[in-house]
Order: sequence, then structure tokens, then C-alpha cells
Amino acid sequence: MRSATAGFSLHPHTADIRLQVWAPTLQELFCVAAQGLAEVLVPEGCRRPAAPLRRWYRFAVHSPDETALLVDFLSMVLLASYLRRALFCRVRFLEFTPTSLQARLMGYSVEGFQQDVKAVTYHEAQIRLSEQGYEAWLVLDV
Amino acid sequence: MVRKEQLRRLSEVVWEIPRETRADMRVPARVYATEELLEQILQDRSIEQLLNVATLPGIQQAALVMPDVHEGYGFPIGGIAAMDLEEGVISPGGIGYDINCGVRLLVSELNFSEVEPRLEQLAKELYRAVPSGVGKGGQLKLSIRELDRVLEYGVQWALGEGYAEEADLEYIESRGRLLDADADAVSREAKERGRDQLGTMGAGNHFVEVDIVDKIFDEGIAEVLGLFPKQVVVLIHTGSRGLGHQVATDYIRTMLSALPRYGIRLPDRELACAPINSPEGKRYFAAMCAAANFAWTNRQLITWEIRQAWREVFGAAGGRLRVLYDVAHNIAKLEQHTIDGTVRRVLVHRKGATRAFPPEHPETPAPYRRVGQPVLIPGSMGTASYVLVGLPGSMEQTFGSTCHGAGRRMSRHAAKRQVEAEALKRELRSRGIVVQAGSVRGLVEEAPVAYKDVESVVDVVHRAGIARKVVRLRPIAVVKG
Repeated sequence: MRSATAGFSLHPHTADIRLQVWAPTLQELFCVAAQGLAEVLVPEGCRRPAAPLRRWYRFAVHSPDETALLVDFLSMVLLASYLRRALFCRVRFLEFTPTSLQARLMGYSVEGFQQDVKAVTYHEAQIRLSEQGYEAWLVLDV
Repeated sequence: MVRKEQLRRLSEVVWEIPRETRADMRVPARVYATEELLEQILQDRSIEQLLNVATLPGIQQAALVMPDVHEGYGFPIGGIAAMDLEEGVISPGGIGYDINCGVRLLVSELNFSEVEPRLEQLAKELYRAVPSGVGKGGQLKLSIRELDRVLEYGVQWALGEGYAEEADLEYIESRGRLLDADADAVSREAKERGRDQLGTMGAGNHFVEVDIVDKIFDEGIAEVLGLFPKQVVVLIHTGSRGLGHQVATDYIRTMLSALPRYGIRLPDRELACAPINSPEGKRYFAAMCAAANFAWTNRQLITWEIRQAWREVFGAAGGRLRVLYDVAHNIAKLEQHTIDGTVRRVLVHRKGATRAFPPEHPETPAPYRRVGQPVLIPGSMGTASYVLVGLPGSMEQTFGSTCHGAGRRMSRHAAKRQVEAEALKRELRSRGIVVQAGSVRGLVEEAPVAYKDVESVVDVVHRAGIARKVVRLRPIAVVKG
């Protein structure tokens, strides 16, 4: 159910998890998608952060199109979470085009994660533009 | 959605969707299932995904799915596709994110009555000895240089470091080492994710389980495999952990960018692939082999941890824990198969499918050669598992492959809504099963109700003449993250 101008919701899938995200702009769509991924890793972890957001991770991504860019961006957020053992709740874009971005993630250290997300998949991923803004569905392999 | 009327029944348990069903299909698609299982299978999109697989360049004979099939991403889970080496493609999505996820069976010299008095202690000791949970690291943190040796030498590395017995290697698919592995094809990020994960189980449907031999279907073959009634055995189910997941992520991305260069058009991006002979294809294959070596080494280190725990609980009276066999169920292998009367080398993708070589196959361990390669089929948590052996039918019908497990039928979310953790624990306890689990959530997500009935899955491959049932295992302790 879409309840705000920007947000995400999680839906069941036979073996995995579907993440629905929506936002008025493409940049905001990427931000809420990162929050959705964090929600899967640690439920409520970004709504009530357990510590100040002092961990950070900076990266750049280039992809063939905006949908691939969203999947590749989230794959980098997932990688950063595992490498830094941190939950990243905020994103700042230093550069953003439909096929490339540079981002800085901010988060906090965690003991572990509650869900083992193996990967963010391209399966049925598609960013759509409607009158309300951008929307995308993603499948997370868990 | 594919409708039942579109399938042609070839035999009691084999169904075909003709190549003409879709203009882009290069070969027909075949489903191994009873009518009842087929009805379940048609409820998700796994057959549509199978038809997508049938469109891939270089696919041979037919795109296949086993009775435990369920919807995946790109390829369905439970799928098999053999590719021509000249014209065919390699697809990371045809192997899965958890490269060389697989199963190993250790067999003890003890029977149930000897283990039962210390079962609680054994479960606790196993939980302590084998690190589990999401992203959890183990006691071993390797340098990148040492990890490169694991990636290239696999279980051979573990033998040199004292984590394996010489005899273990004979009983592991490909002796736990694929020679085409190249550590340089694995990204720094993948190595960083994996360097502290050797000897760890992970979470999700991965487990260590103590079982007893509950029913023997074929006494002669059971004897050759060294199995006897009420014997206590240990089943390990895990894979290449974060390292394998990252290898798959890296190369799906690489191959998506390369698709236009090779003029490949796909119905689903998750089928991203490259010609086997292309630079991208060769490099992915080398990286996948390296991740497969990592997974076999992971199961070897877990074996070492279990042996420590076993000694801790039973002392010298516990005897030896011998590796009965270790099989991969997410992998691509270069193999020889007879196609249209000619023996050819092909690349067989198995995603949620197990190799099942028949008697006299040269890759089957010598002591088992006259009965066939053991096939290990874990059931869902708390239900039976099976040991089978490959039959000649597997080479004739399924590129030497069979099913891999029960197959999920209910989403994790639905399982959580339907199953109450304490009630599940009580139910397992009432059936004599001790549970040691790090997460209540993980426990309910893997409840037996979320899976197909493993018995009906195994019956299909038995009736199809792909693999023969040898023994049924009944769990007595489940250890998971």
C-alpha cells in the first residue's frame, strides 16, 4: 500500500523478498531503496538507530541504464554493510546521473544482521515513471 | 502463466512443453513431477522461467526441472541446462548466488542407543563448534594470499593445514578442487567478504543435522556405502557464503554490460550470460570454480569442527566420523554426455540440482563404482532426508542430474504468519528432535510446512530411473543459525 510520497514496503516471494519503492524523484527513490534494504537487514534499525551515524562508505557506480544503476547501487550498499559490519541509514549523492553515481553512505556499527541477504537481483527489476513519480520492484535473494 | 493443457505427458512422471510453445525457445522444456506435484509447480512462475532458459544460445536437448522446482530469479531453482562449448553461454544465474551450495554426509560408527543419552550435549557442542548466523565469521581469518590458495587448491589446502584426512578427498565431488579455478578472477571485495567465513554455516536454510538411518530401501547398496540400521550420521548443508554471493553479483553485472557486444537478447536480465569462450565467460568460469573450491573447503572445515565436537562429547569411544560423500547443488561443470548418439563435452548448469552419476562412471569414488555415485537429498527441517545413488537413466535423460531437496512452496513471510516458534519447538521435541537455533525467526521460516513433501520429490526421481533410493534418514538434532 503506497502511503506517502516516498517510501518502501516489503512483500513475500516463494523463497525471497520483494521490495517495492516509490518516490517523486529518482534520487529519492534510490535513498528509500537503501532504507528498504536496511529494514530487511535489521528491522527498525534505521527508524530507531542504536548509535550515531558515524560509519561511512563512499563508492561510485556506472551502469547501462537507470534500473541497472538502482540494482548496482543497492548491491554496493549491501557489500558495504557486510564489509563494514554496519547498517547504513542515510545516503548523500555526490554525483547522480541516470547511468552513474557517486554516493556516501552513513550508518552505525552492528553486531550482526537478522536476515542473510545474498544479493539484490535484476529479476523483474524495472523503474517506472507515473503521475505520482517513480516506482520500482526489486527481488532480494535471501 | 503456463497452463497444464500446454504440457504433454511423456511418462508417468515426465512432462514436456514443446519447443513450438514460444517462438524464442530453442529446445523443448521438461518437467519431472507427478500430476499432484505438477499442480503445485504451476502455481508459481517456475515453468515460465524454465521456458526462458530454453531460449538461451547453445542449450542442448531440453531445459529441465526436477520435482523440487520453485520460482527463482532468471533460472528456476531445480533447473538443469547443458550448453554447447562452441555456441553456448555460461550464466551465473544458472548456478545461483550461493555457488556450490551443497551437502556433505558424515557417518559415525555409533548407533542411536549409544548417542541418545548425550544427544542434548552433542547438539550444544555442535552449535558452539560451528559458527552460524547472518554474516558471522569464524575463528580463522585468512590473509588474501592464503585465501588465494584456498580458492585454487580447495580441500587440498585443508589437507595440508591439518583440517582434512587423506581419505576425505576421495569422497568429495571432484575431490573438492576444480582445476580451472583462478583466484585472480575473484574480486578483492568477494575475498574480503570470505576471508573470515571458512568453517561457518551462515543462516537461512543452512544447517548441521544429526540423523539416524531410519529405513533401508536397498540393503546391498547400503552395505557398500557403509550404512546400517539406526546408525547415527551428520548432514551438513552450506555453501560459499559471502564470497560466492559477491562473485555472482560481480559477474552478473559484468555480463549485463557485455550482452550488446555479443548480440544476446534475454527475456529476463537475471539470465545475464556470455559465450563460454568469451573473455567474460572464461573469467566467470574461473571465478566460479574458485568459489566452488571455497565452498568445499568450508564444508571441510565444518567437518573438522564437527569431529572436534564429536570427540569432546564421546571421547575415543565415539570412533571415526567418515565422509560418505559431498555433492554440490549450485554449480556448472564441464562433463561428457552423449547427445544425439555422439559423446560431447558440454557445460552443465545445475541450479538446485545434484549430480547423479551412474554405476561405473569414472568420477564415482572407486569403492562405490559398482553401485553409483551417492546423492544426498536433505529434507526440510525436522523431516526425513534421503541417500540415493545415480542410475543410468540420469545420463540418458538429465545430463547426469537429479533433484536437490524438498523445494520451498511457501514464502518465508507466510511461514512466519502460520507458524508459532514455541509450538514448532514443542512439535519437534515431541518427535524426539533436539533443536539448537540462533534465531527464532530463522527457525519458523524453515518450518516443514513451508516445503514440499520430500518423500514425493524423491519418489519421482526414483520412478523416473534417474536415481535409486538407498536409505531414509530421520533427524534427531537440528543445529542452525
